[in-house]
Order: sequence, then structure tokens, then C-alpha cells
Amino acid sequence: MNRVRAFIGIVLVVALNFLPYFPALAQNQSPAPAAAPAATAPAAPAAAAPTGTFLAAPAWLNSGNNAWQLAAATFVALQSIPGLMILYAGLVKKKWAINSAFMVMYAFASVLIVWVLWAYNMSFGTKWFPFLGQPGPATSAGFMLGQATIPEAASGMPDLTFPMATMTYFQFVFAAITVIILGGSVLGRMSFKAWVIFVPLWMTLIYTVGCFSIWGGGWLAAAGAVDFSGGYVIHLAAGVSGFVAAAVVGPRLQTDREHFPPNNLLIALAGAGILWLGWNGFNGGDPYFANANAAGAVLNTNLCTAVALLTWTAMDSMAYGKPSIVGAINGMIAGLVGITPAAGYVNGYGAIIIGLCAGIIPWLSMNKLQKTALISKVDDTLGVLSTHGVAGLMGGLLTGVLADPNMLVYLGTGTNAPGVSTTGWAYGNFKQFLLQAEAAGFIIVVNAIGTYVILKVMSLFVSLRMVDATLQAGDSAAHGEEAYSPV
Amino acid sequence: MTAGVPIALVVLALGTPAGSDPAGAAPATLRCTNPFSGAMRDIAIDHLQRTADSFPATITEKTIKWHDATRGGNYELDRASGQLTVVYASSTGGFFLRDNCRFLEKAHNAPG
Repeated sequence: MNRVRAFIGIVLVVALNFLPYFPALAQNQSPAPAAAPAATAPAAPAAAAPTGTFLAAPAWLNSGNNAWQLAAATFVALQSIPGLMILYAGLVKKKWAINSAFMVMYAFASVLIVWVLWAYNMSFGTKWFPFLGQPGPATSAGFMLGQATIPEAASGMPDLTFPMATMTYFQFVFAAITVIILGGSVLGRMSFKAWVIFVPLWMTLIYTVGCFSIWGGGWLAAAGAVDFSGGYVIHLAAGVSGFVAAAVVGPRLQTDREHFPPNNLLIALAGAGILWLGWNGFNGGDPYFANANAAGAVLNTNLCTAVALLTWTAMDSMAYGKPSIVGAINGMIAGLVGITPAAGYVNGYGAIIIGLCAGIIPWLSMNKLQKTALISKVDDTLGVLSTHGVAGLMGGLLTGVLADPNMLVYLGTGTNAPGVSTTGWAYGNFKQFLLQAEAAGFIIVVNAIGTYVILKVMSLFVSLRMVDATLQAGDSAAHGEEAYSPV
Repeated sequence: MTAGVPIALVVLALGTPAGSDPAGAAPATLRCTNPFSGAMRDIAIDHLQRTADSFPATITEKTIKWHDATRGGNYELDRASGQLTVVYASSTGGFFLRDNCRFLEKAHNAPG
């Protein structure tokens, strides 16, 4: 009961903190905080000319682009719930199905709250530091219905034609899936309470830094580094942070490490399928226009994934004598991740090359590197380091090699295209490869150090691991529920 | 004579691709053309004030660099080749725009 009272107290304190954002309740006592988000949403629809009794749609709004952006966001959301939720639930040992799914569902919900209250503007708002935006809510009517813009990244893109609410939601689903991917490294032992605390902290302190630096117009974007849909911001970050988290939290029970069979491969396959097709929104949504480049990115995504899946399967067959469906899922993921930073920058041949590399390099990482004595000390449950970290790093570096200057992201939608492009080493620009390496180094260092510090500080107040009795029992002890009725 | 020849050669080498690069002179107009779109823009370079389009610029023998604080973009002019590289930040990272530039000859007795 005391815990309930404490929780209600915390909610009240947080609510009072946001009182200034409700002018009628606060009697306009503190207008300054409301001014900050308004500055990033310059054109609210209230400015539109009235027609009859209704306000006309704002001139900047393009219903086709808005519809595609919302649909793409929903595809990406489906990748998390139910996609990764059932993929994880199916791939883990039977006793961890509920816990794994619940970690995904919790992260999806909690990230949205953090995102709209402060983290969106830390990632895409006005510059606070070269690597971070100013925190602030994305909740006012003027902000949500105003024309979308990324103030620090506006110089390199045409004016956007959908509202900030669309932008905020679209970017939320990327933020959410990042920490959900990270969670794949610590399944089967991390305390749910620790996870509840870790997710908003990591989102606030780590994700926002990489996101602003590359996507929000921060220092890496200003230098010329690129990441089309999150090879670095999402997958390299999740892979590195997941690996560090796995090391700090500690391994599963030895019996679980030695015997951890998937409890339902068909459910896992359903999740994998949702993940693959959801990636059409993941990569197809990032030009922010329903334009030619979006179509190119979608085709490249599927092409690369197909090549990677088949290559991984061939590697499995050669190494172990038979093809594995779990291996095929890993190959699919590696292909999807590998093309992510490159999807709108490379042509079809580039996508095929990345697919081949994604079927080989992450395979070697998972089947050789992560089985060495040193690396295998860290219990990365689903091999996130290989399928996301290594694949994301590989894809980002290959973008610096294979980016085709003729793949114009804003073709036909901006006044300064053509001629504004990204050119890889293979087309004569070695500098792009160096920029990609620099960006990768920054993401790796920030995530490794940041995640380590967060978890070490957390461990002073809360146990990061479940107690051994709970680890033995699994879902029934952790949640009082089980995925499959024993009756 | 012997000292003048190498200086003239250096001036010629530096000046030819980018037009007559008036290093050390104030102010000059740099005309840049995009090879893809043909779009042109003029940039005012003030060597004495060390500005480009009124923005503070880092001017060396090899390059002129500045940041457009109003519209965004990091600019770098390679004075030998006359190539202007602009890095624009976007939602997917940076984009590069490359223009070919020449300093315009200032007409004698021109007004202003």
C-alpha cells in the first residue's frame, strides 16, 4: 500500500512539473517553456485562411505524403508489437516466453511517454549541444498540428509536408524498437524491475545523443556522415549497448545457456515475417516523401534481405551440414539491418553486395567470434551483437563505399536537387568512408560507456538480475503467468 | 626578373582554375555553378574582413571555409581547383553539393 501511495505521489509531482504547459490551469504564469516547442513548429494550422465555418487544410499539408508517413510508422510499430514480441517469445526457452514478450510491450509503452515528454526534442529539436537537442515536450496543440521540421537539419532537405505529430510518432517507433532490440541481449535473467528503470534512462541519456548527432542535424550530420534509416543510430547502438548490458547483468543460469531451445518456431517465424515486411516502412519512410527514393529504398531492402537470407542459409549448410530456419531468420535480420543505413543511397547492385556481406560477416561473428573463449563469456542471448551491431556497422561502412551519387533522396521534391547527393568510395569519394568510420566510432564509444555507467549506477539501488529461485522457475515466478497452460 | 617569374607562376597556378583568385584583395565575387542543375550563385568573399557572404570565414592559401548560420550548411572552397563543397545536414545525415566556382573579374571603372 505504501508503494501505491509513493507511486501516486510521483505521478502528482510529475504532473505539477508539466502544469506550465496548460496555460488555463497555470494562468499563464510561465509562458517560457511553451515557447521552446513552438519554436520548432513554425506553421500551426490556425494560420490557415478560414473557408466558411471550417479552417482550410494548411497549404503545406500533402495528404499523400502524410498518409504514407503514418502508414510507414505503423509498419515499424508492428515490427515491435507484435513482431519482436512474438519473435522473442517464440525463440526463447518455454519458461521465458511471457517475460520476453512483456519486456517488449513495456518498452514500447514507456518509450512513447519519455519520447513525447522530453526525448523527441532532445533528438530532433533545436541544438543544445553539438550532440544533443534541448529537452522539451511535444504535446501542445500548436506543436502537434504544426508543419513538421527538424530545425538543425532543415538546410539539407525540402520543406516537409506533414504535421509534427506524424514526425513525432514516426520517430518514436524507431526509438522504441532500438531499446527492444537491445533487450534481446539480456533475455532470460534481467530483473523486470531493473528493465523498467533502464529503458527510460537509456532512451534519455544514450539514444538521444546518437539520434541528434546523425539525424537531428548534429555534428556528424554537419560533417557529412550518413545513416539512411538507422544502421548506426538504431542497430549499432542496440548491438553495442546490448552486449555491454549482457556483460554487466551477467549470464543466464548455466543450465539455460546450455539448453535453451526455441519453444515455438512457428510463432517466431510469424514475428520474423512481420519484421521483414515491416521494414518496408522502416526504410521506405525515411525520405519523408512518398517519392521515387522511397520506392528504391523498399526494393533495395527486400533485395538485400533475400540475398542475405540465402547466403546465411548456404553458410549454415556448409558449416553444419543442413539448413536451419533459425539461421534463416538471423540471415534475414542481418540483411535487413545491413541495408538499413544504405537503403536510399545505393543502387540494386549495391544492395546485392551488402546482402552477400550480410550473409557472411555477421554469420562469422555469430558462429565464430561469439564462440571464442573471450567473447562467449558475455551471454548475449539472441546474438544481438552479430545480427544488429556487426550488421549495422558493416552496412554503415559499406554505405561509405557503395553510395551512388545518382540515388537522389529528394528527387523532384526539392529545389536544390539534383546535385545534392552522397557519394561513396567506389564512385571516387574516399572521404565518405572515413566519415562513416568516424560516426561508427562515436556511436560505439557513447553506447559502450553510457550503457555501462547507467547499469552500474542502477545496480547501486536495484538488483539487475532476478534471484536464482526466479531464474529457475521463469515466468511463473516473475509474473505469476505462463505462456502455455500446464493443464 | 628572376624573382618575379616564380611568383607569377604561383599566381597563375592558383588563379587559373578558380578564375583570378584575388588572394589578399578585398572584396571579391565568387560565382559558383552546379554542374548538374546549372544553378548559379554568387558569394561575396572579403579577404580583409575574412568573411564569406558576411559569415566569418577561415581563409588559408588552400581553402576558404565558412558556415552559413542563417540557412545552414558548411562551405569549403578548394582554391586550386575552384570546387566548392557544401555539406547540408538532413534527416538522414549529411548531403554534399559540389559547385564549380570562379572569381569574377571586377570591371575597370565599374560603378560601386
